[in-house]
Amino acid sequence: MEQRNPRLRWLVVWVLAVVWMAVVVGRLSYLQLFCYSEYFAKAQHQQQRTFEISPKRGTIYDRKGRELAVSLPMDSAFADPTDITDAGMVARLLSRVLNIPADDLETKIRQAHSPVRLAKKLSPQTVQRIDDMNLRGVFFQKENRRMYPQRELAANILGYVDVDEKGIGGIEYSLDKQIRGRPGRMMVVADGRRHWYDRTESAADPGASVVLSIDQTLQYIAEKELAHAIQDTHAKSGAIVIQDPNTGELLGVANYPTFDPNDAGSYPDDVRTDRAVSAAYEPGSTFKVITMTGAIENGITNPNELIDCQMGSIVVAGRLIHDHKPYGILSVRDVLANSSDVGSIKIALRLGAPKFYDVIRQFGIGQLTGIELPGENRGLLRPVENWTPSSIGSVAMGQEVSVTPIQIISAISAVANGGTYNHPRIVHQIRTETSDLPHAGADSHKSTDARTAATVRSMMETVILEGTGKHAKLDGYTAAGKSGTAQKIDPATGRYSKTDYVASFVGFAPVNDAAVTILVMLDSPVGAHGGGDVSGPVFKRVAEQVLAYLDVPHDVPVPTNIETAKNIHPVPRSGAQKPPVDEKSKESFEAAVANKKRAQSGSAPTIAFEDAAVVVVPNLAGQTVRAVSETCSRLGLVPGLIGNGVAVEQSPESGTRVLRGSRLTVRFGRQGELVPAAAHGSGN
Amino acid sequence: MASCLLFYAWQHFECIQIRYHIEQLNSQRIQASELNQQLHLEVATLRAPKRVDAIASRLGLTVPVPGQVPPPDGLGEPVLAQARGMASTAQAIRP
Repeated sequence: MEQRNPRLRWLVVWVLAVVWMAVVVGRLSYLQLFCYSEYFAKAQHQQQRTFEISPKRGTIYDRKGRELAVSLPMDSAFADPTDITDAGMVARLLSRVLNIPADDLETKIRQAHSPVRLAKKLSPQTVQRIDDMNLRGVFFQKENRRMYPQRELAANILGYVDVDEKGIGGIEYSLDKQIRGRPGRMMVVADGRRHWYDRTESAADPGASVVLSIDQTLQYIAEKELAHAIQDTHAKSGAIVIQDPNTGELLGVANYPTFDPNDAGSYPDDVRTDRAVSAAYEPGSTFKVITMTGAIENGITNPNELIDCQMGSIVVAGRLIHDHKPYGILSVRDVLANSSDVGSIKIALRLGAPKFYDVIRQFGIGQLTGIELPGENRGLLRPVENWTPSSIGSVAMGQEVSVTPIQIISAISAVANGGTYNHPRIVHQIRTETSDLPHAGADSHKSTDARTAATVRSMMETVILEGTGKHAKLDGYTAAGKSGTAQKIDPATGRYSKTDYVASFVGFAPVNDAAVTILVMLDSPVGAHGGGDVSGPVFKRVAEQVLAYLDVPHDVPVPTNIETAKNIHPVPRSGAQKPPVDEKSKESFEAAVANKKRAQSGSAPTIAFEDAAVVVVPNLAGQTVRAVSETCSRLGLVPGLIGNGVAVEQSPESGTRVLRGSRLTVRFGRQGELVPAAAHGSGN
Repeated sequence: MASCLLFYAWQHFECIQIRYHIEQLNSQRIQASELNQQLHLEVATLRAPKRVDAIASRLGLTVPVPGQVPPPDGLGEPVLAQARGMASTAQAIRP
């Protein structure tokens, strides 16, 4: 009996063990074979997460590779509602950090069926605070944020992006397709502590980078001087454009007002407009360069021909047009230098409307330039069939035609470079990580012949040396240009305003082998409004800085009356006593400094002293030809004598300070001939 | 058989550990790349002309006047387009 009991017990244990194992194996088999799909799906749902990888928007550089617009990855906070058990608690905790009402967050979480974004592009400190909370169901995903490290610099050119990184305005808009790239996808596997341990990635395609033709430093020079000019003249708006006349590339495009693209939404729409391509205006007398070019190219006139400017008035198809000053006989060169409307109209009448129209079209007026910026205005040039009998007179002096700053500077650049019109360009290169994308090269065509261009350049130089562009004369460089003072249309009356003008100056330097063309345009300056008076000095300040930056060699000696700061306050030798200060010379020195600063407000102080190289033009009224010649010879001035009798008019006017060797034009007439008061016209 | 099973289990978990390590290195690489981009941005901000100009002004510096910066090729011969035009102009008018 006792031997059967142990065997029976072992049998019971074995049976129980077998049954237990059968149950376990059966359960495992059931889970593995029948419930596999369900649990695998649950595991995947817990462990795997799929993200869209936002592509990195291409960087925008200036021509020297300096970043103007970059994209940085930043964390955005997401919530997976299927992983959150207490949406209310999560919302309350996050609300304090994100500064978003808890109710809004809770609603967002509850209403979502898949991961939902709670906040975009958070600062690293905010991300750290949320991460420290270790909230289940809350995670971060990288999204790129567009940043403009130079803030307002070239803002109107660059444009900006919206919350979805879509380009709005400027290069961001026009090249959005190339810059934005293509998103990728990433699937990650995480453990129970949400640590990733595997990933599968379909990489995002980063956007192409864009290299602009803009030079950051030149852009800053233009913007700084434009801001000073606006402050000095209280103009409503303005633009400065700097162009390479030999290629058409834009080196700087300044707009005022401007904005900070990092916060573009805070600014009104009109501030974000790029006036250089979108704002058309009547160019006024700057257009006379095209008039003269057409006339000289077609053999209608030459710079030395004398034109009777009829003492400042002319009737064109029944319309009376006045000059800004009554001029008598002027050479064609002096017609341009003094910006005589009457002289320009007479020349245009000889050219004829059809030929004149063709010339204007050759210079790109009334047509899109094709620049890679959105919103370009083609300006206004009515077909010649629609010209009225008086239109030729208006167009000759820059009325009845509207241009954008880009159009007029490109036309003048054609004269500067010998007659080739280069379409303006602002994109230098578009490149991906592996190659350069094809980009349409600069288009060009012949707008005039080289000989005509050289003649007109010479005439434009006279504008600066003797005419309305005296304030634009550069120190150490030859320069050529043309001023423009265009009356604006009064929207209330539909007629030309007598108070609102667009003051502009366009020019290039050096005269031969021009390195830069510069346009300065100020809309509605208060007080002085002449293009030569208001925009000319700005041209001078910009050009001198630009030419120095570009290391352009001086082609004329730098005037010795411009003293450097070092020379004004010489350092005494060691042991030497400081020379006693002469109160009288100190007073005249301070007065000279104050005068020069007033004349060149906003620029670096340029100190001018009385110097033998500078002469003051005397009053020659009433003198004979012989006396005038002798006076000019004594002063070292080159006489230009017109007419018979006694001197009745001179240019430059008496009291003007000029360098020895400058040209002095004197018109002779009958004794007692009066010079009439200044009349109105499109102006200089 | 037990040792095979043990080996299989060991290499399975070893793979998981290596994956963790790879992911960690990947994260470090991404962080370094982001830091690089942030530093590039910081350099661009520090080199902004407006900022440099403001600092230069505070230090008493100004824009150089013409002639203060020597040109690389030295002073060339002055060539005036007007000089060429003067001779022909003199013929057109009375002396």
